[in-house]
Amino acid sequence: MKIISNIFSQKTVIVVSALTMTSMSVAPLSGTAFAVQQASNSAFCTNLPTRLNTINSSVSNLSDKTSQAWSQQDQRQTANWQTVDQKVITVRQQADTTRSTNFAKLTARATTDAEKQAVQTYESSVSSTVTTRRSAFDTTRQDFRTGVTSVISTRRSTVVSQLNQFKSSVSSAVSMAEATCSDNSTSGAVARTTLVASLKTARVTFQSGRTGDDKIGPQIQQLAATRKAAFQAAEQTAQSNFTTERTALQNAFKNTAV
Amino acid sequence: MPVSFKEDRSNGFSFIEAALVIVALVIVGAVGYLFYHNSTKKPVSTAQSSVSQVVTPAGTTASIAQLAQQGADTEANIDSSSDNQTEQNAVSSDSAVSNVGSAYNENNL
Repeated sequence: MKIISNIFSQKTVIVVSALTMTSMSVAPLSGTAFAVQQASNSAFCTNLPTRLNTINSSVSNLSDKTSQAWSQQDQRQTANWQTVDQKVITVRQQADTTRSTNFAKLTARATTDAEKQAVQTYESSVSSTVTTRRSAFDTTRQDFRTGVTSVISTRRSTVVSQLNQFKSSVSSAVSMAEATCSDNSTSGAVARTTLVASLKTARVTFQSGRTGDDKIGPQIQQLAATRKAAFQAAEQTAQSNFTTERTALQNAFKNTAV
Repeated sequence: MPVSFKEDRSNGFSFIEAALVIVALVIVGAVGYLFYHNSTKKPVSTAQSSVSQVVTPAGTTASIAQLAQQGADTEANIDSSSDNQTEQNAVSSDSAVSNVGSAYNENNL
């Protein structure tokens, strides 16, 4: 019994000794790891102002570029529509010249006073119809442009709201990280985790808002279709008037060849 | 009696002369083809234009109405031809907006 007891006590001593030695040898290692972790956390908080400054600067810079893109967009749109207006003016001037030539030839065919009067009436009516048609086109054109401007403006308002929300979220995340680091210098890991999650949420939320960007094209196409229909309606009305005016002149000339 | 090959060869066409003849034939053929090609195309284009536009006598009510309609159609085409540019311009700032979302990579913190 005594022998067993001695053996057991010897084993116990050996095991305890081994455990003690192992603990003593591992202790410095785990202490070093903890120190490294602390140093890393401290480094995050130390470098935080520089990193946050970079983020804020990048957000601000890209936001400014959006404003510049909108300004350039407005300038191009204005130039585009000015080009259209200039082409329309040219086409109308050419049409006026050609119509005057035709009126002159028609007048030359009038021999009696009644025919000359009828030609004058016809010229006046046709000119009035053309003016009315052009006015209708101008109004329709302006409606289209107002619609396009409204679509773009609405979209921009949405984007501005999304941008402000994005900036606000980033700012909040930044403030929270700074506060966490200043409250406890050893809480760098917590501050980093929270900041990364908040910035990711802000970014993903903003990027998900981009799905509305592709809705402008179909809206403009719809406006163009509406404009086209209005153009056709105005032109049909004009052609109907032309037919009436033409019949009146033919009756005066008693000749359907005019 | 010995045969002189030199004399025989100098009496025929040299290689350069033969090449010149071939080049001249190719040029004549190309010019002829172009004339033929143009002469076969012209009637088609004339036919197409006569189909697309009925000419009315000038100085008539019909021609005045036709000119007015052409003017309206031209105006409408001017507008519609700029629509693509309008549409492209309307979405031209989208990339700038999207870029804001890539202002940072939070995983690099």
